[in-house]
Amino acid sequence: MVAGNQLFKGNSAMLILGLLEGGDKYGYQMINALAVRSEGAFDLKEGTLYPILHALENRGSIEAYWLDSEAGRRRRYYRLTKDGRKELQKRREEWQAYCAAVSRVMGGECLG
Amino acid sequence: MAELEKRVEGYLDEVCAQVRCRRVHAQLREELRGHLEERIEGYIAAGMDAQQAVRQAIVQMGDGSQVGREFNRTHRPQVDWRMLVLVALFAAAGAAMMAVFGREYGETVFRNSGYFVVRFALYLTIGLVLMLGLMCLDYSRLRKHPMWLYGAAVLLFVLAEVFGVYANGRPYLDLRFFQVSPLPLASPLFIVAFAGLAANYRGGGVHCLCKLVAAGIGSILLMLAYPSLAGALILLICYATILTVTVAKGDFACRRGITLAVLYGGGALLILVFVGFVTGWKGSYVFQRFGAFLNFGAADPRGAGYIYAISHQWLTASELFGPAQGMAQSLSQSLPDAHRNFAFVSAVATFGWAAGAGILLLAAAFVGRIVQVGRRANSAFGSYLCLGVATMLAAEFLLCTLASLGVLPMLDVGMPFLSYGGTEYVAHLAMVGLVLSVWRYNNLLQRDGSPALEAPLKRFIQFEDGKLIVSFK
Repeated sequence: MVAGNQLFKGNSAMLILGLLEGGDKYGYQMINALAVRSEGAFDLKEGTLYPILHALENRGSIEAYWLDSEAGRRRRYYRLTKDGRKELQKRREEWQAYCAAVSRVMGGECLG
Repeated sequence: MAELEKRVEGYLDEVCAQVRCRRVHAQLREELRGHLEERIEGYIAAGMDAQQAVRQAIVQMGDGSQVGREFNRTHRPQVDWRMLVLVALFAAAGAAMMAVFGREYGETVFRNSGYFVVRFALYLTIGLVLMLGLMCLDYSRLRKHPMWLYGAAVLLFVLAEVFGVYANGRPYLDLRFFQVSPLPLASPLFIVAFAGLAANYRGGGVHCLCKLVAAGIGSILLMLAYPSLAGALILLICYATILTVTVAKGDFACRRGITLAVLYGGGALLILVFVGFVTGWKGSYVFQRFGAFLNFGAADPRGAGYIYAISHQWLTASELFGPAQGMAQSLSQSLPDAHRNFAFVSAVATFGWAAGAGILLLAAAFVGRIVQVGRRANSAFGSYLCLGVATMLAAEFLLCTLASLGVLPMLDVGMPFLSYGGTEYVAHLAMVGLVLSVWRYNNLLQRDGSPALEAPLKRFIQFEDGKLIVSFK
């Protein structure tokens, strides 16, 4: 999908926070989860995920810690903070309101 | 294989070339390298040959310099404008207070009502230069040698004792044109040193905590010997706050509840012993001095209770807006220390209660902002440092205001940023500079992981997210 990268960028914070809601993940894992859950709709350049993660970390929405993997390399895991949970909740409500409004105009259904 | 590794490293070089902040390079590389390696292994497992797998993984990452530019936007210095606005507001309030003191004392004491304002301008300039200088320096370097800071604070007292001049029963450093009290310089040094030690001992066990407490007690005893009860009390409050937060957060490998109980119990015991010792030594003086504040000095309004009685008179005569009405004498004639310990009373009596409330709101906003910076700090040292500075300022504001209101006995504590006192003013701005540096370097330094995150303490019963977890592992 051509617009995949743009589509991801506009809502990246919400999507990443949403991914972390189900448990701590490292970057590679997040990209795979994103591909599976979106059925490949967000064909993003993988490197661009990391600056967004670091920005969210600086903002205090997520925090990171290193863990060793079986393969002997360290992985940087991210987890939601309390502030991050609040932010996710807010964004989700906004998104549902927006989605419902768009579908009222355009017709069709909104799965929130 | 080395050829392929080189291609991965080449990609990482391309990314890092765009990131001006070098400290984060190592971490960025490790994280991106891990990602690439995992992707390559995935492709090879799916049947691709190694060369193609590397090429494909790099293409999949996206343009290196584009990714690097985005990292650079994330990891760049930031200026805490909110804090700078608060500093400016306090500087304006301080200038207004100096104009009042100038009018009160200037003509009679110095034959020059501009004396206070000119001095204030000088110290404000020195303080601002120091503040901005410290803001641009990397505060995390202070963490490496906390004992040097501690030693410097001790040295100040030693120098004052050996080479200094005595005034008001205390030694001052003699700098030819100025007499500088070592006290306002030493307390910030002690607090920064304590925060540094706490950060260095973090993750350690009970013996680390003991060393930290011993360092704290040493500095408090030195303050008492100087003698400054106020300085000792403020250090005690700062240390207690830092210790409570670090232990409660699980930064030390010890049982939180018991440790806190021991710390507070031991602290209370030491204070009781100290109070008992001092009252046994010169009991009547202690009761006279510290008991006098009760009931606005009514027990002895012409003796030990005089300042409290007069302060109370001024406050009752104060209006909501504008100067107090119906007082026979001027502030400086009736209220000793109107320019220092009673700066709050001076402000209320001159500008009205609205100004007093404004000062307290400003103080709360200032302390609150420092706490916020501390919570967002990316290192344990940064957060302890902010916590120490915030507690010190909060304690000074509170002790000074509550004594003015007749709730607490008066100690020699000035109102930060509003009282007369040049060294203190410069030292306070320097501490604000450190907080600004914590904010500035937030995105430039590699983050400390919290030890509680990396290695959660194994416990039989845990309480988390509102769930009670019983672990049999």
